[in-house]
Amino acid sequence: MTVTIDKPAQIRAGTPLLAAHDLRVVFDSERGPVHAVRGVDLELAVGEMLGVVGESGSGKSTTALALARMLPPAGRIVGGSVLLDGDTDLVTASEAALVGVRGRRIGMVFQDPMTSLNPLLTVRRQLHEALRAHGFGDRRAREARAVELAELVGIPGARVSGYPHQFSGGMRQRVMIALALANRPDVLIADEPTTALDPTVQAQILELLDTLRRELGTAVLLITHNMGVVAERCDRVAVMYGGRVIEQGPVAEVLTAPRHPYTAGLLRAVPRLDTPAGTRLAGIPGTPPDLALPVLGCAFADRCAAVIDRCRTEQPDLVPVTDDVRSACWVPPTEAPAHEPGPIRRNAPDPTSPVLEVRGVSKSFRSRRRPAVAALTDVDLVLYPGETLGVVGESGSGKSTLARAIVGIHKPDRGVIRVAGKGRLAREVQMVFQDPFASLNPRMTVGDIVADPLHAQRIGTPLERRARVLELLERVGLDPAAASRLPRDFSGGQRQRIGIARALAPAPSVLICDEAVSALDVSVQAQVVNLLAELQAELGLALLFIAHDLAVVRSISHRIVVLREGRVVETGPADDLVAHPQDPYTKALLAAVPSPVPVAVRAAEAV
Amino acid sequence: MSGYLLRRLPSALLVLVLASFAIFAILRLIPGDPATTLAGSDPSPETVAAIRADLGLDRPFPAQYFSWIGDLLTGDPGRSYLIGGRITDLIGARFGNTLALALGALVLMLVLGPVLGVLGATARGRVPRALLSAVDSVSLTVPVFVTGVLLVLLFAVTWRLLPPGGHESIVADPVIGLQYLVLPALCLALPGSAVLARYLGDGVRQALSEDYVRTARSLGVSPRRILWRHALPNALPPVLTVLGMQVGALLGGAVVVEALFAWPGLGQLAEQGVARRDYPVVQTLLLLLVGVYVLVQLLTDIAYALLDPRVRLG
Amino acid sequence: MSAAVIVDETPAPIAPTKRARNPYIRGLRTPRGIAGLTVVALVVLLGLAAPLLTRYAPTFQTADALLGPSGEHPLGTDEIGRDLWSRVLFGIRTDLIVVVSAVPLGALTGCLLALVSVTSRWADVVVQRAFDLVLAFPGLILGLTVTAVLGAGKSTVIVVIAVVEAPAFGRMLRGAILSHREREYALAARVGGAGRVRLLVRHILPNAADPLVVQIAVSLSIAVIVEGAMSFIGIGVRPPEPSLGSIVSGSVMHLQDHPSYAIGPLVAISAFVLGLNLIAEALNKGVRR
Repeated sequence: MTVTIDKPAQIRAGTPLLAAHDLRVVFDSERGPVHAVRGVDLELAVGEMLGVVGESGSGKSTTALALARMLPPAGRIVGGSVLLDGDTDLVTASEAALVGVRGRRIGMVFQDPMTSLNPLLTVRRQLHEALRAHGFGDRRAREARAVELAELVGIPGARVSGYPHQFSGGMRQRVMIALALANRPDVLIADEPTTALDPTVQAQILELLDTLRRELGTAVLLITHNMGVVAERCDRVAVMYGGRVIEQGPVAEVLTAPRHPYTAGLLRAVPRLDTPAGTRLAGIPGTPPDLALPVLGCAFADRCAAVIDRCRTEQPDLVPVTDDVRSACWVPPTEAPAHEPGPIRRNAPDPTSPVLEVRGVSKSFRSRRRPAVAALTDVDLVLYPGETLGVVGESGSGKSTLARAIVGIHKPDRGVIRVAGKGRLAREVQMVFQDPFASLNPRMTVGDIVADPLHAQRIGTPLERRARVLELLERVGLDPAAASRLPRDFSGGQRQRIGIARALAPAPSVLICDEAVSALDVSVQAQVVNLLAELQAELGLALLFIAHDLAVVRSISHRIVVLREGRVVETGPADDLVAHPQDPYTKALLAAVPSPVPVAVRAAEAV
Repeated sequence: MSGYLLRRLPSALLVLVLASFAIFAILRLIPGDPATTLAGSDPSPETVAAIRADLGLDRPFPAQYFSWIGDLLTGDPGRSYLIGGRITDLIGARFGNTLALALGALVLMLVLGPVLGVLGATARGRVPRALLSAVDSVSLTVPVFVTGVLLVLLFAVTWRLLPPGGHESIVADPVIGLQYLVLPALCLALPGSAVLARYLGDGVRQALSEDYVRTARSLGVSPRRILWRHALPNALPPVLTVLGMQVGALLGGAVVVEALFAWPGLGQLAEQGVARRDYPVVQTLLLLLVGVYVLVQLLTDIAYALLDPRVRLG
Repeated sequence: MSAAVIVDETPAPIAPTKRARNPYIRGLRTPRGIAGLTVVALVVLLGLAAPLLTRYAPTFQTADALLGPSGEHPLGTDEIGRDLWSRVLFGIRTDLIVVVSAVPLGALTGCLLALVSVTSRWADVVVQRAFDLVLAFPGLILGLTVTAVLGAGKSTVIVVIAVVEAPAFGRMLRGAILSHREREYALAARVGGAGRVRLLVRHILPNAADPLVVQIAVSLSIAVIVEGAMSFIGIGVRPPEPSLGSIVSGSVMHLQDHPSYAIGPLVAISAFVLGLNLIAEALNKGVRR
């Protein structure tokens, strides 16, 4: 750094740089006030990286925005304080004062790099804009600094004349980081900065953040849902649930000896790369609380195995349980019974004759103005009855095109796709889609949705179809009364169950799951993965399980295929492939998966 | 950019060619023979035939069409059947008047629309918001001839500030000319202004809720600069498209306004031509209006591309 | 049921929904929607009940021309002594007939063309060019052209409105079908074995129709305006049959000496258009969330 900016406030030793106390946020909604944040306590010390982890609806992103008072118009802070340097309360500060704080003292990086940059301005102009906001030098000084910043985050100086749409997601996130760090803030709040990115890009961006905070001494508040990211990158962690911090402490302690039953449950639910194929994942029963309703007592009580009467009537405070760790739980942390995640019941696949064969399939997409893009090139794979074949790959690997080619949505340019059995394709092959919200027709009842393939293929009488729907709903773990409701009454996990029931309706022999659990929170993801594994064993289904998360794929698959840019780069038995990858790309993919075991602990184990 | 123009130009030309076909064909469907009308009462068949030959009506349709297009391209679309005189003179005399009216309305629209729009997007408090929204709704929905009558009732009948109708050349006498122009132009501009205001207001409000505005806020960019440098430019491109469509509405509305305010423009000529089935005049005039409209839309598309690098650079 | 499912997740309680299910009804229940419905209902009722509300036929000429409002003639009389109250009521009637036949005609034409255009690339090119062509004519200029061929009259007005409105419906439905066709629920239906017809009718159309309902309300208000404008410049409904536009047109000559002449038709037409627009806005809000 050749240019330095003098800091306005001397940071006193001992006081946290940024401290939230009893922070409360309410959102106005059609259904009435939603209490998204319900009394959050957080401290961020100079130069540290604090992970804030939680599932969707835990209030972690709202907290991040509230810290810099950046809430959207529907939200407002209704209580508590956010102290900067131990003396300036950002909750009561004037808007003008906050404009001076944002960017200068607190920088922010957001989740979606595609929408977070102004599409009409070049990267250079946006960097200028950030510098200009805090009166940085004259035009020439800003220009020099802009180029310097771009190179700092790994963007060649020449590319700053480009517009955001000319950059990839990872590059845009680098631009975002350069913007946030332009005025050398003391605090960087990064809200799920890598969630929208591929694993290998995620690893690069996290590495960049880590390097920069060490070089510049910036304290980072990293919001994430990924325990692995916390384990690899953070010093301390705060676990959020139902709008509150329920456990906070050093990463090495919290992740190895969680005090709160939710933290423990969450850690068990995270699929690990080192657990062998065929291991049952441990989901947390139930669904997260509805924040529009008042919560009496502990928000986790309904899903907690260790619940006692007091949990339902009195809200536990976040209190110290060791020197460094604080937890909000009435039940004294006993030695949690070592949870042994037993195996799932699995049938051995029958390798005599494949139920699905893909031979030399190629597919490219043409558009009027651009040259044709090859999505699949000479892809071969076979799937045997009762087998689960995992397909992994990053975005652009062609995995979704493959799924769609098999079910007949895309017609391959070359090659053959053979499905055993007679009857029509739709009778034999069914699919579970990625997006639990987009994949169900919002105008149809759940019963009609599940029965739709039966109607479309004229299977059974109306009475038989009705009986089948009820049977399927029950089988996927839903109340049969769900049949008369609309999809919007259900949570993400429940909707994926509905999607599974629909796919099972015509009793197919092959089930394709295209990122079917990627959109779900880990505790719910584990439930759905287990359900799929059971269904497979029970019904003798052949499962094509497509995902980008290698750990989940390993846990459920017999064999794994790795796709890259439309080509198969490696294939093999699940455990072998993960333990002894051959292809350099597979190795890179594996190396990019963050493990939820803290770095320090891993080092100790290695010794 | 030139690549963009190259892609966009053929479709504009195609629409123009199709429109010339359509106009020509449709007008030939009109019942009745203009030659018979021209020949006066009880003409001899020879007279009618002579007139037909003179007007070229005895030739096959394609030949008539191409000779019309040929004449247009050489700049002389011929003579009127019934109104009398050369078409270039007929149109030329009125073109300036309609242009003055349309430009006056456009200027008013470009002032009123953005002012109302930005006020609407940034106004605080229930009462100002409701008031602006009401003004917008009323000017958006009430038809041109209704606002026209109301304007005349207020400014000409009740307050006697401005003339209720008629025309005076702005070039000859700017002060008097403007007095005659104000009411018709305002009347013509109101609905378009309201549409612009609404789209711009919605666009700015939308832009203010976008992630990149959140990014700018997080960088400490001042609220005023966020509005003018980030939200407004992003709201503009779609508004441009709407503006282009409003120019079309302006051309159509001019017919009504010219009738209401006795304004001697192209609208009146079109009305006369249709009433008297003078199709050389009508077909040329229609093609001219369509041509202007297509040109305006082409210009707005180009402006859009200039404003938005995603369109310009693909 | 296997035991595992019970361990995993008890069937979670299904959140009850309080909001009205139908987005249109939800939109219309807002203050804006209620105001719009009230105004439009009032105007429509006046038009339907016209024969009951006046003693004069709309074309009956009394001896007194250009009277001011009185007990006998609530809105006065026009230049040839016809009762204006009666003419306005029957004018509303004429407008209702025009609008109610023209808008569905235009909507139907546009939607059918949209359905044709999504079947093949070629059909799409042809239909889109046809829409471009219609849209290249500024609205009233198109009205003038059609009138030149068909002659002035009620049916011409209906045709003009239908032609002007068809591309709006067509483009809207085409766009909605194309976008919904790529959504996951539509793909899921295809994977489930739905054929083209079932996919379109059972899955896509119910979801793609939302903007059309809003467009119908918008189109109705535009139709009232187009009828008024055409009658105003004398190419609309033929005299002596009253329409709101032609009454306004008649009043223009007498604005200086009898301004009250204009009040009735102006209020009626403004209320009608404004009410329809309020309904459109309310529907739009309901659909959008």
